[in-house]
Amino acid sequence: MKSAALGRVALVSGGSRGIGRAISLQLAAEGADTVFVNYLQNDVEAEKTRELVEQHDCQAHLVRANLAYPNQIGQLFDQIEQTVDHLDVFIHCAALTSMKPTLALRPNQWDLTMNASTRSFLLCVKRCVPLMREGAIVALSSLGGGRVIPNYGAMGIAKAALESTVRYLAAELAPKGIRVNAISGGLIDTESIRNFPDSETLIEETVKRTPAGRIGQPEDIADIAMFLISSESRWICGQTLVADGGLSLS
Amino acid sequence: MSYTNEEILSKFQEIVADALSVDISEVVPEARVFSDLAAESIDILDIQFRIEDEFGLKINRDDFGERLAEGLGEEPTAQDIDARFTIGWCVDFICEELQAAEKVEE
Ligand SMILES: NC(=O)c1ccc[n+]([C@@H]2O[C@H](COP(=O)([O-])OP(=O)(O)OC[C@H]3O[C@@H](n4cnc5c(N)ncnc54)[C@H](OP(=O)(O)O)[C@@H]3O)[C@@H](O)[C@H]2O)c1
Repeated sequence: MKSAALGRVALVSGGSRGIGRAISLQLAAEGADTVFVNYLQNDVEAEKTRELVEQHDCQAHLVRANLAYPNQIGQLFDQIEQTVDHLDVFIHCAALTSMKPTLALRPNQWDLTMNASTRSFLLCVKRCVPLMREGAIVALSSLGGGRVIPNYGAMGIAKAALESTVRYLAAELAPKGIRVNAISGGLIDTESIRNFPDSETLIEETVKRTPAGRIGQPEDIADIAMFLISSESRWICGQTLVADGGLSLS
Repeated sequence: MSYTNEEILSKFQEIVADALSVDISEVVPEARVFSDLAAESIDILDIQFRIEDEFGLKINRDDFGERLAEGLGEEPTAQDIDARFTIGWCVDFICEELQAAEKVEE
C-alpha cells in the first residue's frame, strides 16, 4: 500500500497522548508534510509528541485549545489558517468524560462530555471544509457507543451521537470529495483506561474475552486511521469500522 | 478587563453553583469543594474551564496542585487536601492568578 500520508497536511485533535499521539507519529512516519497537534492542557506530553513527530522530518505545530469551547475552536483554526493554506486530513481523538453510572450523571458532566467529545467534532469539521479541496476525516469512537459498558454512560452516549454525526456529515461532504468515517476501538492501552474503576480487572477480563488474546495498542488504531485516509478506502463513506481484536463478536 | 475581589468571589460562586447544580447560598467561602459540595474530578475540570473562559486565564494544573499541597508536608493526606480546598482558597488562588496576569483592580 502506498503511503496515505505523503506530503499531506493534517490536524489531530487530542494528539498529545495515547491514540492521538500514535496517529500523529504514524502520519509523520509515512511522510506527512505538517501535523497540527491539538491538545487540552498537557504541555509536557504535547512537547514530547512534537519532538517525536519532528524526528521524521515532519513539521509539528502544537495548538493548545479546549475544544469544548467554540471560541477556542475558532482560535485553533485561525492559527492553522495563518500557517497553511489547506488541510488534507482531520483526525478527531479529543474526548473527556466521567466514568460513573448514567443515572448519577449531573447536567454539567453530560454537557462537558458531549461538548468536548462530539459537538467539538462538528464545529471542527465546519472549519475544516473550506480548507479541504479533497480530504479525509476520521473520528475515534468506541464500542460503548453501540453497547453498554458499565460506568461508561456519558461517553457511550456521546460516541453514539458522534457516529451518527459521522454518517450525516459523510453524506453531506461526499459530493465535495471529503470522506468522513469513524473507528470504533475496543479497549486500547492508554492512560485513559486507568480512569475506569478497577481498571486492572477490566483489562484482565477484556483480554480473556478478546479472541485475539490481548487489548489493543494505540498503533493498532493508527494503522486503521492510515487506511481510512488512503485512496484504498475511497469507497468507504460514513462508516464506523470496528477494530477490537474480535471482542465484540461474542 | 480587570476585576475587584468582590467581583471575583461572586463570579466564582455563580460558576460553582451552576456547575455543581447547587444553590448559590451553599457556595460560601468555608465550603469544602469535595466533601461539602460533592464535586468530582470532572467537575474540577469543568470549573477550571469556566474560570479560564470567564477570566481569560490559563491555569497550570501542576502549579495548582503544588499550591494546594503547599505546607501540608511531603505526602498530604486526602483529608488535608479536602480541608484546604475550600471556596475561599479557590478565590484566593484565582485572585493571585489574576494579579500575576495584572487583571485585578487595586
Ligand atoms: N483508550 C481506549 O480504550 C479507547 C478505546 C476506543 C476509543 N477511544 C477513543 O480514542 C480517543 C483517544 O483516546 P485515548 O485513550 O488516547 O485518550 P487519552 O489518552 O485520554 O488522551 C486524550 C487526548 O484528548 C485531549 N483532550 C481531552 N479533552 C480535550 C479537549 N476538551 N480539547 C482538546 N483536547 C482534549 C487530551 O489532551 P491533554 O493531553 O492536554 O489532556 C489528550 O491529547 C478518544 O476519543 C477515546 O474515546 C479510546
